[in-house]
Amino acid sequence: MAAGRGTPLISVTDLEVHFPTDEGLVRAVDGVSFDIFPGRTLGVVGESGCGKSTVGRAILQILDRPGRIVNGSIELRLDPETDPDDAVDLASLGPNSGPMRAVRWADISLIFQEPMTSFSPVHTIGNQMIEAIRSHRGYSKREAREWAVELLSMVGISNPRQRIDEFSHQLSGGIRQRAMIAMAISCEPKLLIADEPTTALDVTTQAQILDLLRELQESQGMAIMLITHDLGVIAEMADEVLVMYLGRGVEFGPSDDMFHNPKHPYTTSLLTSIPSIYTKRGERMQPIAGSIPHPFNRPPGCTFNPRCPSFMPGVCDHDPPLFLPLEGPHLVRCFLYHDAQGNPVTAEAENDG
Amino acid sequence: MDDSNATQPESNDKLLQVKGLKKFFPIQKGFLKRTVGHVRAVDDVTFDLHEGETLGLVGESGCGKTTTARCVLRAYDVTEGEILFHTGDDRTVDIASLSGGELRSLRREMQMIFQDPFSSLNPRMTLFDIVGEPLFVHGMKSSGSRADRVAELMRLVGLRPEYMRRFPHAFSGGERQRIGIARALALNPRLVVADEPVSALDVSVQAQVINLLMDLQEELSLTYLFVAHDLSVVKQIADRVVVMYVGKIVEVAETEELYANPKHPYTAALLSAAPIPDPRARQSSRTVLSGEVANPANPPSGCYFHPRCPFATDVCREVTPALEEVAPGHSVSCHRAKELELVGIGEMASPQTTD
Ligand SMILES: Nc1ncnc2c1ncn2[C@@H]1O[C@H](COP(=O)(O)OP(=O)(O)OP(=O)(O)O)[C@@H](O)[C@H]1O
Ligand SMILES: Nc1ncnc2c1ncn2[C@@H]1O[C@H](COP(=O)(O)OP(=O)(O)OP(=O)(O)O)[C@@H](O)[C@H]1O
Ligand code: SF4
Ligand SMILES: [Mg+2]
Ligand SMILES: [Mg+2]
Repeated sequence: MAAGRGTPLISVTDLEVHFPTDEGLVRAVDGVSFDIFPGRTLGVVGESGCGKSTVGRAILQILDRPGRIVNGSIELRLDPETDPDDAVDLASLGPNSGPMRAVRWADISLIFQEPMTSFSPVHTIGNQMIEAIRSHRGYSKREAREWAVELLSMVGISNPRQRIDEFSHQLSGGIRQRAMIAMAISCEPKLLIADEPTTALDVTTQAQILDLLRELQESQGMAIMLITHDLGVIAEMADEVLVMYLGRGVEFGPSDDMFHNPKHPYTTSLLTSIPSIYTKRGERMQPIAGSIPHPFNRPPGCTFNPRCPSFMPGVCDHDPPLFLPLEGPHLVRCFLYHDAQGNPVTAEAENDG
Repeated sequence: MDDSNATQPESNDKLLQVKGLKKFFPIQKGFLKRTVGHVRAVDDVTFDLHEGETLGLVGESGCGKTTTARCVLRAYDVTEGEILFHTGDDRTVDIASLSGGELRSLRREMQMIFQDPFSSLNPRMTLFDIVGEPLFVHGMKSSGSRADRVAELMRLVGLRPEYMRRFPHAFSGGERQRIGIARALALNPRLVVADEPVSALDVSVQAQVINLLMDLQEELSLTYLFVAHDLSVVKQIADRVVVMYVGKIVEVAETEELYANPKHPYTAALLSAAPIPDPRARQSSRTVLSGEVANPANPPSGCYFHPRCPFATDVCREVTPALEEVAPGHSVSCHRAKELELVGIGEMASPQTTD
C-alpha cells in the first residue's frame, strides 16, 4: 500500500486502544491502519469522539489513564529511504521506557488544540523551550537559547529576543500557537503531530498557521499528521487522508481520491453534508440521518449501518467489515467492496444480489 | 393584523432598525473596582432587518457579534443608540429604552437560540418543562394544553413527542439544539436571534439543523438574525450579510454580491482565508493577513483595520471611514472602497480547473 510514495516513515496497523472505565469499556480506537510518508501530510478527519486524538497520543504513548494499546503495531522507520527494514514497533515499547522517551520531541512531537494548556503558566516560554532542547541535545544553556530565538523567528514571531522571556498568557492566541510550533520543531522531528492546531483560532489566523506549517514542512522536510474535523482544512493541507468513524478507520487514501472518488458511504455522506462558500442561498445539504451512537451502544456489524444510505440488511448488521485495500494505496472498510471474509465483491456479484 | 389590507408603507417591511448602537463594557481594576477604560464591544452599528429575511452577522472572535445580538433582545442594556422594532400590532417601539413591563410583553415576539446545546438546557428539567416553560410564564397554566403545544412543537422540529418526559442528557447534540429551537418557537416569535446555532455541532448534524431552520422560516414566516463565524454556513442561509470588525460594521450587502464582489479588504481577506473542501481548489496565491484582530479596549487610530490592511494609506491611519453605500444595498466603510479591485469567490480557481 506504499506504492509511489516510497517507504512510509510510520506504518500503523490494526491499532486498538481501550479505556476501561467504571461504566464500561471504551473502544476509543477500534482498528485503525494507515501510513505516513516522509515529508508528507496525513490528514485525520472524523467527527467528535471518533478517536482522532487518541490515535495521535497512542503513537507517542502518552495516553491518559486508563488508556492502553491492546492490539496492533506502530512501526517507525528512522531512515526509510536508505534502511527501510530498520523499524521499531513503538506499540511494543513501555510508555516510560528509555527508547520511547528518546522518540518523543526528538523524532515525533505533538502540538495541541489549546496552546494555553501546553505551556506551563509559571515559566517563560524561553525557559520551557531551552529545557526541551537541552534534554535532547548536548547544547549549553547559551546555545539552546540562541537556537530558541532562531526558532521563534523561524515561526514568524517578531522581536523574538523580547518574546522569549514572556509567559504564555502574555501572548495572543496566534502567537502562542506559533511559539508552540517553535517548541515542537526544536529538535527537528521527522513527524509533527498537530491535533486541531487551528480549531481555536480565527480564520485569518488559521490561514497564517497553515501557511507556516507548509513552509516549515518544505524547509525541514518533516512529515505532518494533521488531526482536524474540518474537511476544508484537510483539503487544503493533506496528501493522504484517513477518515475515522467510531474508533475505526473507514477509508484511507490519497487526498484527491478522498474528495473526488470517495468509496465509503460515510465519506460520501460527510462530503455532501457540508456547505462551502460556493453553496447557494437556500441550497439544501443532504444531512446524514440520525446521529453518532453512544460509545457503549455500538451497532453490530458495520457501526455506520443505522445511518448508511447503502445499508444491506443481514450483511451490514452482522459481521464487522474489514479494512482492506481496494486499488493501489486506497483502503476501505465496507461490504460494498469486500465480504466478511475479505474477498472482493465483484460488480457481477453485486448485480446478482 | 385584522384591518391592514391596505398596502404597507415601505418602512413597515422593516422588522428591526438598529441605529447607532453602542455597547461599552467598563474595564475595572483593583480592589475598589475603579473604571480604567472601556471595551468598545459594539461601536456605532447601524443596520435594518426586513420581515421574513435572514441577516447573517459574521466576523472573527471578539468583534461584537454576540454583544450586538444580545443588545437587540435587550439582554444587555445599551450604551447608546436605538433599536426600533415593528410589533405585531403595528407599533414601532424602541427596544433600547423600553421599561421592564413593556419589554416583557414584547418578549414573546423575539426569541434567542444559543450556541451551546449542552449548557443552555437545564439538566434537571424534562423536555416538557424546558419547552413548556415560556408557555407557562406567558399564561398557559393548564398542563394539558401545554402538553399539546409542546407535542406540536416537538413534531415541528423533528423530535418524537413520546420523549417529552426525558431529560436533556438523553439526547445528542443535534437533538438538544432542536429542543432549544422548539423552546424558542413556543410563543410564535416573529424575530429569532440565533447566536452560532450550529457551531458546536458535528458536521453531519449541522446540515440537519440548518435545513430545519430554513424549513421553519418558510413555514412560520420567521425573520432571522443569524450570527456565525463560518462563512460557508452563512452563504447557505443568509439573504444579506453584515461583516463586523472590532465592534464596527465594515461591509453590508446581499449575500451573493458580498461573496462575489467584496468591497472591503477585510471581507476579501476573510473569503480568501476560508478553506474550501476540495483539494483541487487549493489557492496558490491567497492573501494571508498579517497580524491579529485589534483589541476593542484599545483600538487603532483611523480605520481599525489599517494595521493589517495591505492597501492602507495615510488617510486610513488618521480618519475613521464612515459606512457608505457604494451600490444599491451595498455599503462599505473603507476610504478606498471605490478604487480597489478586490477578488471575491467567483474569480478564484474554480473547483474544476487544475494545472
Ligand atoms: N481518558 C479517557 N477515559 C475514558 N474515555 C476516554 C478518555 N479519553 C478519550 N476517551 C474516549 O475515547 C473516544 C475517543 O476520544 P478522542 O478524544 O480520541 O476523540 P476525537 O476524535 O479526538 O474527538 P474530538 O474531535 O472531540 O477531539 C471518545 O469516546 C472519548 O470519550
Ligand atoms: N460581559 C462582558 N464584559 C466585558 N467585556 C465583554 C463582555 N462581553 C463581551 N465582552 C467583550 O466585548 C468584545 C465583543 O465580544 P462578543 O462576545 O460580542 O464577540 P463575538 O463576536 O460574539 O465573539 P465570538 O466569535 O468569540 O463569540 C470582546 O472583546 C469581549 O471580550
Ligand atoms: S480604509 Fe484603508 S486601511 Fe481600512 S480597509 Fe480601507 S484601505 Fe484598508
Ligand atoms: Mg480530539
Ligand atoms: Mg459570540
